[in-house]
Amino acid sequence: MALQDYNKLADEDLIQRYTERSEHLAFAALYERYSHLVFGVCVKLLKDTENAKDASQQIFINLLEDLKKHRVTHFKAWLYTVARNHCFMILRRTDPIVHKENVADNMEFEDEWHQKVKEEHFLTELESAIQDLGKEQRICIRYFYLQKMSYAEVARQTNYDLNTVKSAIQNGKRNLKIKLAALLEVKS
Amino acid sequence: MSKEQLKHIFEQSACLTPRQVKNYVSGKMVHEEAHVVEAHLLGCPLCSDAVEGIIENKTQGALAAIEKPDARFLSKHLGVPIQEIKATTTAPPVIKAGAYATQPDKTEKNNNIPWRPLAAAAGLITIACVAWFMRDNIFPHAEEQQLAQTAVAEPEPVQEMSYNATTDTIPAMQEDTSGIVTMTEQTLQTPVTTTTPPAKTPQEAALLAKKEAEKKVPLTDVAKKADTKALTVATQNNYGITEYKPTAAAPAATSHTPPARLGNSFTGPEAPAFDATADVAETKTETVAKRKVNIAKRASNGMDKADELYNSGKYKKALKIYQDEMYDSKSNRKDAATLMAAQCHIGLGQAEQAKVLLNTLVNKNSVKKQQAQQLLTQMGE
Repeated sequence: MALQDYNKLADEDLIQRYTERSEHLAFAALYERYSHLVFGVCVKLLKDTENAKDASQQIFINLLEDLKKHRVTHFKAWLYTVARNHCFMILRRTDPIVHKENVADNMEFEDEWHQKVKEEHFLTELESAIQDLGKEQRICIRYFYLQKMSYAEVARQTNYDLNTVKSAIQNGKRNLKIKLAALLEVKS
Repeated sequence: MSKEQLKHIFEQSACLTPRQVKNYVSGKMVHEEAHVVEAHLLGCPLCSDAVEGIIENKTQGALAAIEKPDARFLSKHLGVPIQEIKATTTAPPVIKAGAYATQPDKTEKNNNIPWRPLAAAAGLITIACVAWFMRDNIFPHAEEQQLAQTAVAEPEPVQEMSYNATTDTIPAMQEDTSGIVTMTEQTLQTPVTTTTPPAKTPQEAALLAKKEAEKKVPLTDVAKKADTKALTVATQNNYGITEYKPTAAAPAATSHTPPARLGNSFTGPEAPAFDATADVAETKTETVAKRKVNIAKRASNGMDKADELYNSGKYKKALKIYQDEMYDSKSNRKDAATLMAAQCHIGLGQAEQAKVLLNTLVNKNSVKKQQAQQLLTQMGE
């Protein structure tokens, strides 16, 4: 099987082929799929292109062994955490005080919530939760998810700043999750 | 707010490819594409941070760094050939022996053969062959019918064409067998009027239309006899074609039927067999010219004009032409003209005069006797 055929497989299949059958092309496919994103995360944290290149390569070299040591179920979330931790480790060498937040859990949270929202009563709750949002977030969420506008279009439509639109949508979505989680706890 | 649209708020989608990241960061995406990317970024911290990092460090060459995968890294640490990595975006790569434990993929064979262009070329050739076959075998009369319709619809230009075409093509027709030449001469002396009798009364027209379907095969047989008895065939056909003429409602079909007497190839499916027995070697151009001649002759003939007048209900005018023909001492179509004159009288409500003419045909044992008797029967005689 060629490398381009490996590219069609899911992350879990590629990991299995690499760890169980030592198919290096499966790992190469993972590298092609995520190396540019890991580099982007690294360059965001390290603020230097060359250091970010070295860091992302080192992360994948470590993965060669780590994947065989650990059983990884959510590869993307795990890779994101690994990449951030690696960058924090580099930063810690120069600046010992590094604040980090564990956002990787959010990625699993997304998948879980998508399944729940498919249910009818959750959709109703979601609608009422959107109504309870602040005006700015409610307007941006509606334009973005219902009118399928891009950030730029929402900004033009609302006369809000582009960064305001972006943060309103991000914060609005986070608030929706919090409200739905609270409702779920009350019901259970 | 549609609930169905809300389902996608927490949906997971595939992470961005290097090209998507590049286009989004460069602002080359349309709004719809940008929306899809942004919706993914809201649920994917990995892509979101990556895009933010690349945007923030775009000036430091961060965008250029993601455009191509680091082939040397994979080659050095995984043993993957550099060609393999470069080939993932172009041609199918070369498989390294032992690089995989599973069986080789069967879809890889014959990848070098350009199947799509070959299939397209084969399809075009097939269509051309089918079109050629249909033109020569299934629709051999299309051109003739078109000419016939033109002759009927535009009588004056056809008359002009008739004159020129006749003088031009008579020598060519004389190259045929002797029988056919004789017949051609006769045709020129007594223009084809007799071969295209007009429509009958509505009742008779319906009856004859029914008969025509049954007698098409006998017509073929008559046509096949032409190679041995040309003059006889001409006579028989005069009678036969009068019998087989379908209806006034189908002038094109009527006008292309008579040329069967000349033995050329535009008489229908039976024509190729006739051509072979007559051993008449005609080029396609000559055949088309003959068709024009015959169609033009028929259209220009006075009897045909009378037929047209009769078909359009102008019985009085038609009757005058038929009477001229009836009393023309040189005419050999007196009986046909008499029969049609009788029908004009019927159309004008002059039953007695019609009966006189029909009885004349019956009494002189004319070739039109049978039809005259039919009309008399219909009139209650």
